[in-house]
Amino acid sequence: MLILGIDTSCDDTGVAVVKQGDIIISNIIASQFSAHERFGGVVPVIAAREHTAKINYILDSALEKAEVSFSDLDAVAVSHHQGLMLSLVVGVSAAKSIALACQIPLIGIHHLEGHIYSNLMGRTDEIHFPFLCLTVAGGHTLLLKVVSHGTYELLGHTRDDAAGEVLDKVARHLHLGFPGGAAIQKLAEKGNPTAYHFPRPLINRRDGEFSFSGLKTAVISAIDRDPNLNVADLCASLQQAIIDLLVSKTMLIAETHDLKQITLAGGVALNQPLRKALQQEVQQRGYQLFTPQTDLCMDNGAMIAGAAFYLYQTRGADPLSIETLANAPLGTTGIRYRPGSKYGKGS
Amino acid sequence: MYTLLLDTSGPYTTVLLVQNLQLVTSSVVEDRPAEHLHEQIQTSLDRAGLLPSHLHQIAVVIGPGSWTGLNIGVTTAKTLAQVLQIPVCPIRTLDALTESSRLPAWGIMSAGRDRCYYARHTHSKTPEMDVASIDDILQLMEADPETHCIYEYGDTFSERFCDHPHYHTTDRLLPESLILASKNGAILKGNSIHSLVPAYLQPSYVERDASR
Ligand SMILES: [Fe+2]
Repeated sequence: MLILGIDTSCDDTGVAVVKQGDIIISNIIASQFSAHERFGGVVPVIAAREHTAKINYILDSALEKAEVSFSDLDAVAVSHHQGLMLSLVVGVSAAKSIALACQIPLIGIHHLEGHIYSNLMGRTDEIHFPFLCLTVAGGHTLLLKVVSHGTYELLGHTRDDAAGEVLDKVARHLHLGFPGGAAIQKLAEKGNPTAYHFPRPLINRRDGEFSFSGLKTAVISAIDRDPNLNVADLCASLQQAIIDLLVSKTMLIAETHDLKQITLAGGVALNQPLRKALQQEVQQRGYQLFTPQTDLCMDNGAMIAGAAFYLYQTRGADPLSIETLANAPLGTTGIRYRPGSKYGKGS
Repeated sequence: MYTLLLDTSGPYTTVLLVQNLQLVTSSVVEDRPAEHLHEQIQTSLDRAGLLPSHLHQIAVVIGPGSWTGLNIGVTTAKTLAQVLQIPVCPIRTLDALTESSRLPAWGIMSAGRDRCYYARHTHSKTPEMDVASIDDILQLMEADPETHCIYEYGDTFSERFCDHPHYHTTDRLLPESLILASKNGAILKGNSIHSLVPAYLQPSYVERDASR
């Protein structure tokens, strides 16, 4: 089964062709970095404009690279839930048009499901249900038990900011440019992670709840207080605090729920110190850690097509009238993973 | 020769199926083009007993108009044309607005912040659209004694025209105007379709909005 996957949930235009959910024949990601850079963050109207201007070129290159044409496709999958509303509708409009013109099934995928499935692609022999997934992407920090295809259980989430939001805020405060996470990670390589002692909120609580806002406040006030600030040391110390929090909560939840396979999803899966720290803990316990291949960590169309291959078998196709939502409950159990968010229309 | 005509520029989503400039089916739904547009297209094709592959051309309103609506309409037109390998005819909102009126006519619509898009349509040539403050446009109109009609898309400036004998307001582009505008529009073919973008706000406005 040949599935075209489209993701325009944020500021990257991603289109991929995937066979049988596993074999990535092409995976094109067009970054909009230069369009947003001078604003210090993703500007929704600019993201939507860029997607509209580029989507058809990206569709062409994904098909060309895969050496297939529209008529070879068996289905088209698209991120229709979770992301920037103005951006999502562009990919959804393109996907619906392809489904309509080719008369093939349309499969709507929750963007976070795409991230979860980025681990499973090509590894269904190794990873078995149920397993634990730590998703740290954009505005989310989640610990999910993946029970079966499309069914998840929420075992932990943040009560306030997400880890990524802390990095972005601090990076902006330090004028480190955009995206903030990457800039901080780079500086952290040269710094001393024990130079500053930052709080690790809720680290001793015996559950999966995260809180990052206290950490954010502590870091910002350290920056404002210290006239001889060592930026590298500060970044390394901040990164260490976040890693400590993520690792300790993940291991606690893995142990309490007896989940011996742990997967890492989202952009943070590229963070080497985090991978290393998790790997160490996982090995000590005889557990296993899985991380997606590099080009599946960022937002991309391949993970959407991958998720669609498995979820189509259980959920079937979606109608052309399928709704686009900035925030939508996740999976068959309708998990509301983000406190304080409206689950419905909005940007 | 079947043309599929899409208009998502305003509060209504219009899908017309046109054969040799004659209306075959029409579907108009209020609001939410993201959900309705493709279903309307499928229903229109079904009603006419056609398959997508029977279409010869797509015509689409490219703006100005609703930001998200235009992204949806233009992306849909481009992608359908890309898959079906057929041409696209872009229609400008203000051209369709004055298409079936007596000429010379002015087409206007709000560009936000007391500014206004305008174009003066005559028999002789296709006008360029421009943006100015409504006060400047009113002055231009006063200096134009030949004016037969003033059409506004939306009613942002209706109070300014309350005693103007030739002022009309509309909240949607009419099928006959859209069909006429598609007849007179340019035709994009092949890869040049990919580069089609909505004529929404001027780029400078987008950047200014973004930096606020
Ligand atoms: Fe993402």
